[in-house]
Amino acid sequence: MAATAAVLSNHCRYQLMKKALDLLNDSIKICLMRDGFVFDKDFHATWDLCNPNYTSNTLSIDSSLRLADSAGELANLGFSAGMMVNVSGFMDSDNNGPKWIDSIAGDGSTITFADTTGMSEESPASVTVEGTEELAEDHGYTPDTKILENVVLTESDANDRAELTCDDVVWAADGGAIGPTPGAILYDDDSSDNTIIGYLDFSTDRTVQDTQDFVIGAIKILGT
Amino acid sequence: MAVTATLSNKYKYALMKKLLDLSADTIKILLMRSGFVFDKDVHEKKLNLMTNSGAISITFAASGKTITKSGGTSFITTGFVAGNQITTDATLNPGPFTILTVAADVITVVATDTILDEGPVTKTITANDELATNYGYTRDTKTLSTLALTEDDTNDRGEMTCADVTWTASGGTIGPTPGAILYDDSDATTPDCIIGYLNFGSDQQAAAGADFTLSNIKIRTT
Repeated sequence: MAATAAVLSNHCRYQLMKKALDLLNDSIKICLMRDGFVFDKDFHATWDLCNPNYTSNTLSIDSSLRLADSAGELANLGFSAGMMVNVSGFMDSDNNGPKWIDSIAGDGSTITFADTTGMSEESPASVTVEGTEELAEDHGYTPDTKILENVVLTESDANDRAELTCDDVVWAADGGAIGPTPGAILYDDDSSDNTIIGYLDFSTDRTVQDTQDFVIGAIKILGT
Repeated sequence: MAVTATLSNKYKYALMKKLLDLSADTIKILLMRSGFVFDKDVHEKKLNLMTNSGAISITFAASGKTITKSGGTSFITTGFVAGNQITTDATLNPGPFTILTVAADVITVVATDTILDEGPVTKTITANDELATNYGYTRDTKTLSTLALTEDDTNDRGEMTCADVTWTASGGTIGPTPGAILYDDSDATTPDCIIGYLNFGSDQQAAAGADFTLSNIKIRTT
């Protein structure tokens, strides 16, 4: 794989200082992200923010066939443009099901979908919207299962840093391609809030074809 | 004054290993003796600043400027490191000396120090790079207070702040001192991991009646 840029989350920096992460002994997961995902070191603090799940009685479909929230909560839950979400709870079946987000209003009041099926509908008792930024399960990739193995933490006086290394991570494509994916999230699965450690940005979308291995090698986390 | 801050490498490691809690641990701050030079590689824990060998059999050799022990705990394990200022209770070689190198059984002092042939004698070697207790400064007692740890999304870092630290000079001058060490007094694993060093740029002092104040202290992870 070509050059990869690594970005730590700001929450990871905070959690390290708060004695919340043991990068040597904790279970650290690595997840490939969906095409179009953009990492934000400010916002992406915990893994939950990559897997938004919102249930409310304040959701409706407005006259422009947008998902509307009178509580204005849609902006900060982790939903993002390009994400596929599952919607359930509306009376009209065309308002439910998988939909792709086109845009989200900055005030959290509406989500505009790429498709325009469905019809205007007042708020039912309960509507759930859930989505994920992770690559979908398919062709040898299983979401949220890959753990870094053989983690070693060393103090490098030569480079004035602490350095975590681990085995290469491999997914074998089976029955089709894995990807495209723009990068991988690392998060601490043993921390109380599933702290996102950071993001490996592949620079461009990466795909491996059927029977090929998707390999991320020489993974390191540096404390400088 | 222009102050520069340097983190120890051990601190970087300890953070990633969940050994330090900068929001809740007891963090002490020490003023250092004139001539002290911080080394982020070797200054890992408090023991590397202040330690003693206990009474052991040692021989001083003028030719190699060495102090050699027989038996007992390794000098390295005891915590001696290059740069330590050491004294002894030996008759001919009280010191102070500055350590050039440390091996398990041999300490070599810098070329400008004078060692006289002596021993073997049963004596104690003591290292202490902290400013001596005097005139309102008391060794190893000052603790940072009002710790506040925040996640700073504007500047992309974790940041710990605390109240200003003040010693009031009484009956004489505090200093001269070239800088201050911060260490985590709650860390039992390292133990007492040195967080880092505030280098004052030049020796600083406070005359009798004046305050020696360190303000705006911050520890950041970037």
